Amino acid sequence: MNLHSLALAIPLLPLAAAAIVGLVRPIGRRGGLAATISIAAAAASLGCALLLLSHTAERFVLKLPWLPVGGRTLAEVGLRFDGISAPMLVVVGTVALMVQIYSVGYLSDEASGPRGRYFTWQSLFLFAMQGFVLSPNLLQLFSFYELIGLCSYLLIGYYWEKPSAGRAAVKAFWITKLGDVGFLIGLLVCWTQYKSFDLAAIEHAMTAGPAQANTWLLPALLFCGVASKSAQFPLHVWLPDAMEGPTPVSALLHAATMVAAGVYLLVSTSFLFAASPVMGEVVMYVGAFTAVFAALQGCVQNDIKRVLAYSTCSQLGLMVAAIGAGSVAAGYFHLVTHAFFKSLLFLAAGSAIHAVHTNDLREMGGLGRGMRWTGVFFGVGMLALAGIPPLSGFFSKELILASLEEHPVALVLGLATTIMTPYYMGRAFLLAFSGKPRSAAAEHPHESGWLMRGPMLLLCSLALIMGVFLWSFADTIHEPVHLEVTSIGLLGIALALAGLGLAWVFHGPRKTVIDALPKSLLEAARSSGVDALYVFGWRHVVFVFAATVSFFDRYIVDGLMNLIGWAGDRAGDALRRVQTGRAQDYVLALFLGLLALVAWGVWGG
Amino acid sequence: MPILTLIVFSPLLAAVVLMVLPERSRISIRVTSLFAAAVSLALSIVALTRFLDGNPLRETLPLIPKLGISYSLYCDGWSSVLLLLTGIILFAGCWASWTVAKRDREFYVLLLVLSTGVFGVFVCLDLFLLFLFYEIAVLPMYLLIGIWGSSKRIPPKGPLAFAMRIFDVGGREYAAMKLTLMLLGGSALILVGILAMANQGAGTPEFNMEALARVHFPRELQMWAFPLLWIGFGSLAGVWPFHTWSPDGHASAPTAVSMLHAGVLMKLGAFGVIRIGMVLLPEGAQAWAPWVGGIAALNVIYGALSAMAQTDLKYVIAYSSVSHMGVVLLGAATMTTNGWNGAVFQMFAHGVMTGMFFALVGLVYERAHSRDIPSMGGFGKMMPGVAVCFTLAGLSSLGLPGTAGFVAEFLVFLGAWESNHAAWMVPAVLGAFFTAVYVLRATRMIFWGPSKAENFPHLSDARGVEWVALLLLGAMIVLFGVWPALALHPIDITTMSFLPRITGLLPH
Repeated sequence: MNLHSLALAIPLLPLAAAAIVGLVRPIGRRGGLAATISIAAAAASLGCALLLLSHTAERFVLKLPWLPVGGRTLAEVGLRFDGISAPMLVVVGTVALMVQIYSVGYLSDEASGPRGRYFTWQSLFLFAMQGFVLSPNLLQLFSFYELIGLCSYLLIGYYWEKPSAGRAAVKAFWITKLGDVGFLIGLLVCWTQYKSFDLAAIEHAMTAGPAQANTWLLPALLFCGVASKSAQFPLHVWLPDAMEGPTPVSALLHAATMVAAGVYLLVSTSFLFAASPVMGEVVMYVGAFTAVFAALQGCVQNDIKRVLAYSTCSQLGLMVAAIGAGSVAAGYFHLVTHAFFKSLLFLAAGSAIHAVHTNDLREMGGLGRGMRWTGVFFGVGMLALAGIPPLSGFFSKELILASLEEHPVALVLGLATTIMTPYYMGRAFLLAFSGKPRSAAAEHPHESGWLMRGPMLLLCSLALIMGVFLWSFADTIHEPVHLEVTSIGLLGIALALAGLGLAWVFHGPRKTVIDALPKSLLEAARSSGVDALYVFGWRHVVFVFAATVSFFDRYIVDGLMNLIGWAGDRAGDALRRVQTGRAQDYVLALFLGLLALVAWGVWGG
Repeated sequence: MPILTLIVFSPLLAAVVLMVLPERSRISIRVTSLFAAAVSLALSIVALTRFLDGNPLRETLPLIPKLGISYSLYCDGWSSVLLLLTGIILFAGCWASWTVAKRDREFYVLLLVLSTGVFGVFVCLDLFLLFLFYEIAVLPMYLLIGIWGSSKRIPPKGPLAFAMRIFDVGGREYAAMKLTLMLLGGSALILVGILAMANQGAGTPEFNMEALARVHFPRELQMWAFPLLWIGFGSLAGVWPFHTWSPDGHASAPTAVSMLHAGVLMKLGAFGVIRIGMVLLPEGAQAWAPWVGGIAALNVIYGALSAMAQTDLKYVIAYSSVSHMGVVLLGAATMTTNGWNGAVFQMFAHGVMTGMFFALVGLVYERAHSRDIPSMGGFGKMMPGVAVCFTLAGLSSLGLPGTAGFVAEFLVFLGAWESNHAAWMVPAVLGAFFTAVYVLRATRMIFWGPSKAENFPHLSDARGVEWVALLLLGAMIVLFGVWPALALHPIDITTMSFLPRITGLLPH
């Protein structure tokens, strides 16, 4: 089997699985069979990705013409394999496979039909994401980007009978579509500037061709797309609501697919951002601000999934900031480590939720006694996210802090995130797993079965050891990394420990404090106003405008048309009266007409 | 074998056969109609391949030489794609009208006659016959809506409802009359434009489009004849402000009629504007382009916003057609290769998509006996297949990559951005976003959420023959979205042959 067919198999196997499960109804109706096919495809796809990982020295591009316009090819479809895409393929494949296996256990109570649907979407999602990672040009990146959005919409809305799930799914689609409007305009700009969508061609044109006037425009538009998918302020509002989906879906969305797509787009177009220092700075500050803003929100949530959601948002901010500051390796490596420990955290949280049937931290407590495995997994995830050496998160976090070294404001924001992250994670861990049970369901939690524990175990070991792969990772993507003992690095470790300490002080096992802050402050922090702004804009600007246009159409434009019709009707009615049917009237008219003609002949002519 | 003639007249032939068939034999009526539709569909694929082989079909017969009228049919890239579209929609429409109960023989007869008109317009080279075909396509609508239309009156609501009642808004007779009158008003303008062009030279009039394309019309004539054709054909394409027949007409029309009307007939208008107005009158088109494009951009955003504010399901889809037809004319007005390709591709994509929408809306309406979106909810439980199909059509409508709608919209956006009026791109892109808003909102309100099945006792998923139209149209949406070159390649060849006539006029 040559490398090309391996690379092709990575996205096409899940697509085939999705087609089989989705279109062949007898298979779709049997949840177990659907799961088996989907998981087998995901595993085979991951196998191909792993085989390719050992050939990262090879780079190749496969292309087929896609849009014939003007006798030439406007855009192609194909795949590009190189050092950038290789690690992402493995990360996506691993997390997706683990999530799918875990889902079998998690959804075992569900009916068969919905499970068939679930695995169709899961396979389609894997196809979309791998297709995205392998895209050689911007148009294809955009296409798969939108498909990823579609799959998220479908999976977030998995419990479609719940009104809140429906709203969350649609909201996620709308907000990401809003950002994609920018991306789409970016494609148009790209075409007029470079006459190509191909990434390699654009890069070549930038270095070899004449200098472009507005180098900031294209990256700025692309960043709209990045910000909406990767939940950067102020387009992050869909992410917390997206928790309405089943927890394994959250794990997938937050680790390896939806939100990762934005950062990966940033990585693969980083040369555009590097060419425009202004956009680089904008990206960095947006990222750093999002990191702190979302971390603050994470500190005050009582829903365990929302804590993790805001944490994702915050960590994505760090990645974006690092790439904006010019360190692609730091941002990308954090994407990789984050994928493993965040999916681990979500799966562990899902395991706890599965046991106590609530997301609310206030109704948990003491779960660590009944669910040792889950507790350990969540704990490892927490330490990795907090950046405690030698866990994986430590390496990537240090890299990010180092990349922000020369930008004091962003660095301070980054350090602030570094202390808040361990605090809110510690709080969630302590509230859920230590202390006394605070509800009946939390009294006797049952540990999940091996179908759920197995995937978590693998992700847990990856979260533990991923750090040592830093150097081979840097080799693969051909970016230099320097990890040295600096004062900032040490400060980072100290802050992480301090954050954990704070969590222990406020929420330790002997305390029963849920919120360390007074109520009024909490309320203010929770309702940050961004959501309210969207709702206001939606209801009072867009919808009022739409209603006005509709009114105008119904009554003014159409009214005018009706008026014309009515006037014609009336006029006909009036003229009808001329046709009286009486001979004397006609003779009179004849006589008057003759008179008028004679008069015209005598005086007029 | 006169393939084009067969494509055009096999529906008419079937209509004649139907008239002698016994009225009660439901199956034979449907089989005959389906057979005619299948013949047209299969032969339009032949026409497409013949064009791609560099051997396009042409059939000529002198008819009235003294008046310059001849029966001449020709199938270029645009025609072949639009023939294919008409074939697909007619075939699907025949399946979708399976359940028509009232006077079903006459219904099928009119539907087939109308299709002959549509096929004829797309392949006819002679303007006189083209006009004839155009009228044949438009007129049966009056009966189809007036007799088989939605029986439920929609009482006018809102602050000015009393005024609406004076005009008798809401009934199917009103809708049929409004549609027919507005379109016939447009025809009158078209006729003037055509006669002006035909009588340009001395001696016998010239109606052949290929001959007319070689004539250089005086600038004054182009300046007044082009707007006549634009508004005349445009009223059928839903150009603002002559679009108002569309919401009422489509809401009242029976399923298959809505499918054909929004799916194919509206394209006749756009086809006329581009193929006759722009190609034959390039200077006039060039001069009027800012107006054509400006109003088309208005159409896009205006239609989308109006659709957002509707609560009646059919009105939502009808307004979305107004918006999407704006995309077609916007692409045409850009006068770029991308824009024209996009415009013709959008005719195809929108035709398939809106045909699917109206088929689905018909299914929902048949079962729920309601089109009021806020009263619905949770239909996905009872009709999962319909829900999936509705979502697919919606995704194509909002321009999701992988569906035909994306290719069309993207090309038009690109054309607009490259043209002299880059600002047109903004309303067009925003319109696409608003489409996402109303389509997903409608989908969620109808199919998602807790089931309100107790209010709708007769809900059930699509069954048997009802699936045929849905599967066919759904497959087309995905096929042409994934492999756009199938249609784009022939479209592109023809665009390249027409466009230089216009761009040649541009100062460089």
